[in-house]
Amino acid sequence: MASESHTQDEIEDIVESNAEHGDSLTQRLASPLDRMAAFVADLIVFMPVMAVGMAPFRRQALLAQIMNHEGEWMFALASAVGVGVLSTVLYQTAFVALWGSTPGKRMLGLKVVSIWGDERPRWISAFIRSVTWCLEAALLGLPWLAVFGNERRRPLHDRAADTVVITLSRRRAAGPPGVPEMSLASGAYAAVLACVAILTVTLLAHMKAENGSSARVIAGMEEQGLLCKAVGEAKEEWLSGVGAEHPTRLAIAMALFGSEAIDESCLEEEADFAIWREQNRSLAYLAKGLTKDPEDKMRATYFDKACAQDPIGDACKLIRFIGLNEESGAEVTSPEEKAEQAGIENEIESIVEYARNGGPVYLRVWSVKSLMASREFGRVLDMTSDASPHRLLGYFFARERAKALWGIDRKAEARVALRSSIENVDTVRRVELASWFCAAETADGSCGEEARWACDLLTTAVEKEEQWLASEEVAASYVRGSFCRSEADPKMLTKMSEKISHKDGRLFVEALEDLRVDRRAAAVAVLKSIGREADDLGPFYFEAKAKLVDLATTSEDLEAIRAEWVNSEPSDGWTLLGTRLMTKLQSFQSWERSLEVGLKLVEADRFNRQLLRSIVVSSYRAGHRQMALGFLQNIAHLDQAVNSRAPASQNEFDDVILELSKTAAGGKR
Amino acid sequence: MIFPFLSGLMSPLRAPITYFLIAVNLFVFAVTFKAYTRADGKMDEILADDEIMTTQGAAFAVMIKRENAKSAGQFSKTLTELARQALGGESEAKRVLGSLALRNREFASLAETYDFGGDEVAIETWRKKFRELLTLQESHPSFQWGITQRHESWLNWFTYQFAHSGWAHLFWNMIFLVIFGVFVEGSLGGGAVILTYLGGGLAGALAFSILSGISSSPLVGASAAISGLMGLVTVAFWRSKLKFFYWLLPVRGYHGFVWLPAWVVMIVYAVPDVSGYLASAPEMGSIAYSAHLGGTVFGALIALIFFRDQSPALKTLKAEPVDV
Repeated sequence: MASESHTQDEIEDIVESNAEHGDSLTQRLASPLDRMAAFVADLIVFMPVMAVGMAPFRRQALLAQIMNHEGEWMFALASAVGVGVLSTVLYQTAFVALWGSTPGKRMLGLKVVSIWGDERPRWISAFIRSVTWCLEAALLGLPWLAVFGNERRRPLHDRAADTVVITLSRRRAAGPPGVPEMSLASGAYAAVLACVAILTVTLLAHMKAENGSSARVIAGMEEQGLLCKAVGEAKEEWLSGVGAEHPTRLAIAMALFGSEAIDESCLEEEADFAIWREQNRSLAYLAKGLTKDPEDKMRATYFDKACAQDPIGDACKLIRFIGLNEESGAEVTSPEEKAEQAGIENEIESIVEYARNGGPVYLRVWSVKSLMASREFGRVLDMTSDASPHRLLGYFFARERAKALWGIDRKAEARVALRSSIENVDTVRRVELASWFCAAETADGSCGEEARWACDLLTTAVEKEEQWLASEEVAASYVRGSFCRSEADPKMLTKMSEKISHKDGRLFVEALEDLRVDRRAAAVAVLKSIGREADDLGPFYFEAKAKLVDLATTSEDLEAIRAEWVNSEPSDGWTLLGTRLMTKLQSFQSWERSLEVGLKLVEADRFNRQLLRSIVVSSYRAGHRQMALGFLQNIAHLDQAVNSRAPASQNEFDDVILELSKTAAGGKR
Repeated sequence: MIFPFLSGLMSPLRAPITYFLIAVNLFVFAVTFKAYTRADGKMDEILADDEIMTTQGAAFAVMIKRENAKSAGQFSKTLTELARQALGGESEAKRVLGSLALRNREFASLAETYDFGGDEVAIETWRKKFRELLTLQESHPSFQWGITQRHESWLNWFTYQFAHSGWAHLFWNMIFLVIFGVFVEGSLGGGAVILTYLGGGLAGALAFSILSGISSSPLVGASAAISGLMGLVTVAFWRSKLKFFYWLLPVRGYHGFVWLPAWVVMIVYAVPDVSGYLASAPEMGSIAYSAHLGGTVFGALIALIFFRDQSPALKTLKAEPVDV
C-alpha cells in the first residue's frame, strides 16, 4: 500500500523518523504498576455504571433461576455479559479516542498514543484495542502479562491497535524491561498456565465424578422403583386397556403401593399432587397417612381426616380394613372377646367380598394381602382369577396366586404360574421371586429337578450382582440353592463365604465348611451360636437350627431346639424348622413329641397334606387312634377341596393306613 | 477501593449531634441484642423445618391461584409461575414459595385464617407453627422497632432508623454516619445533621413503601438516614474537592489520600444503589436499595433548597485543625 503513494526514498525517511519516534516513546513507557493501578481505578469508577446496565438482566436471571427456567436463565446471563462487554468497549473506545486515556489512566498520568505519531489513537484503533482487550480479559487477563515481557511493554491489544501506553511524568517512566524482568514474566506465564491447567483438570475430573455419581443415583432410584414414572405408565396402560374400570391416578398409585411396586415417597408425591388440587381428597388423606410410620400420631390423624371426608367411601373402607386386620388374630379367652373376634372376622369378610365384586383395585390388593397373611389360599385364588390390566399389578396378583397354589399343595400349577410370572419382570422382582421359589422348593430338604430350576435362577442373578445378597432372605435361599446344585463343593463354599456379608450367614457357611472336613463338634458349636444376639429370628437362625436337627443323633439332642421352637412366633422359617423337627422326631420314634410339634403347626395354620399324613402316623403310633382317623378324614376332605389327586404315598403312611384298615375290619368282626 | 475520609473523626465536642445519634444507635442495639438473638434463633428453627416450609409453599400456591382467579394480576408473574409448578407437584417450587411467602404482604395478612383446603392435616400443623412465628415476631426487636405491615404506626417510621439487624450492619452504618455526620456538622451545622438524618429516614421508608412495598419482613437500619447525609454532601459540595482514602495496589505510592470532587461519592455509593434496586426482585432480597435511594434524594433536595454551593463553608472547615 505504501509503495502506491510514496517513493522509495520517502519510505526510507518515514521508517527512519519512526525509528527515532519509537526511541523517544521507549523512553516514556508507562510502568506496569501504574498500568495495573489505572486498571483498578477504572474498575472503581466504571463498575458501578456498568452494573446499572446489567441490572435488569441480573434480575431476570434471578427470577428465571427461582422458577427453574434454564433457557431463560442462560439468555439473561448471556445478555448481562453482553451488556458488560459492550459498555466496556464503549467506555474504553470513547475515552481513548476523545481524550487519549480512560479516567483511571488519567488519574495515574498515563496516555495511550499511536506508535506512528505520538498522537491520540483514531476511533478505529481505539475500538480494535478495546475489543482485543476484552478477548484477553476472557483469557483471565493472562496476555496482559506482556507488559513485563514485551520490549516496548505492549500486550496484544496495544500491538493490534498500533498503540503504546506512555506516562506523562518522565520520573515515573519505566523504560524497556531488562532480562531479569522478562524472565520473571515468562516464569509468571508458565506458573499461571500450569495453575490454570491443574485447575481445569481437577474441575473436569470433579465434574466427571459428579456426573457419574448422579447417574448412579438416578439408576439406583429407578432400580428401586423410587421414581413415580410407574404410576404414569400404569395409568396409560389402564386407559388403553379394554376393561370398564378407569381408576384415578391416585387409585393406581395406591394399588401399586399396596403391591410394593412403588415406595412411600412416590405415593406421597402422588397424594400431595391430588390433595392440593382438591381431587380425591379422602383417598389422598389415606395415602398421606400410609406414608407415615405406624407409630406416628400423624398417621391416625390423616386416617381420621380421610374418613371425615367420606365416611362410607372406599378409602375409609380400606382404613377400617387395615385396622381390623391389626386387631384380628388376637388371643381370645373370654366369650365376649370371642364374639368380638367373630364380628371382626365378619367385617373383614364383607370388605373382601366388596373388593371382589367391583370394589376399587387397591382394595383388592389389600384383600389379597390380608387373605395371604391368614393363609386363606383358596380365597386368594378366587380373588386373583382375572388378569390385571397393568404389568406391575399383574405381576403382584400372579405371584400371590402362585404362592397360594403352593400353599394348598397344587405345586405343579404353582410352578407353571411362577415360571410364567418370573419371565417378564425386572431384576429386583426376579431375584425376590426366585429367592422365595428356591426356598419353598428346598424347604423339606429335597433337591429335585424342580428345585434346581428355581435355585439356578437365583444363583445366576446373585452371581452377576452381589448386591442382592445384602438381603438376609436372599442370602439364605442362595446358600441353600447353592448346596442343592453341588453339595459341599469346597470351591463353592469359599466363594460363598467371600460373598455373604451378613454375620449369621458367614457363621453358617463356616459351619458348613467344618462339616465338610468332619469337624462335627465345631460345626455344632458354631450353629448353636447363630442368631443368639439378634432381636428377631432371621432366616439363618432357622437354617442353623434345621441343620442341627439334621445332625442330631438322639432325640435328647432335639429337646432344646424343640422347646425354643414351641415358644417362637410362626413364620416361614419357623414352619420349615417345625416340619424338619417333626420328621426327625419320627425317625427317633419319639411319637408323642412329634405329634406335639405337628399339632402346633396345625394350630398356627401352617399345614399341608404331607404334614397331615405325618400327624396321622404320629398320632396312631402314639396310640391316639381316634385322632389319627380324624386327621385321615381331614386329608380326604382337603383332597376333595383342592380337587387333585394325592401324590405318591409314603411307606410309613401306607403302613399306618393298612394297619388302621385292618383294625377297623377286625373291630367289625 | 475508594473511601470518603472528608474531615475524618472529629471530637465529640465539636460534633455533638452526630455523636449523640451514634450513641442512640449503639444504645438501641445494646438493649435489644439479647431479645434479638433469642427470637431470631427460635424463628430460624421453624424456618429450617422442611415439612413446614413445603406446606407453607403449597398453601401460598393455593392462595396465589385463588386470588389471581378473583382478580387477575394480584400476584407477580414469577409467583404465579411458581404456584403453577408447586401445584403441579414440584417440591422445589413449594420450597421456594414457602420461603417467599413470609415476605409477601397478602400472604402474611391473610394466612392466619385463610381456608387453603389441600392437606388440612399438614395445614393444621403448619398453622400452629405459623402462629408461633407471629408470636415470636411480636417479641423480636426488628419487628418492634422496624416497619412492617403490622407495625406501620408513625412511631415506627422513626424507630426503624435506630435499629440494626446485626453486628456488620451496625458497624458499617456507624462508620458512614461518623464520616458524613461530623463533616456536615462541622460545615453546615448540627441542625442540618438532625434534619437530614430524620428526614432522610422518613423519605427512605416512604420510597421503600412505594417502590418495594412494605411487607412482613421488617425494614430496619440507619442506612436511609445516612444516605440522606451522603446526598446532602454530594450536592452541597458538588464541585469542591473532598478528601478520600484510596487503595489501588499493595505497593507504596499506590494508596493514600486524594482530593476528588464530591460527585465521586454519588458514583461510588448512589449508583450501586440504583443497580442494586434494578437487579433485585420485589419478591426477595435483603437490602432495601429503594430506601437508600429515597434517603439520597431527600438529602440532595435539602442541599438544593438550603445549602447550594457550599464551597466557602468547606474553607472554614479546612482552616480548622482536623482531628483524626
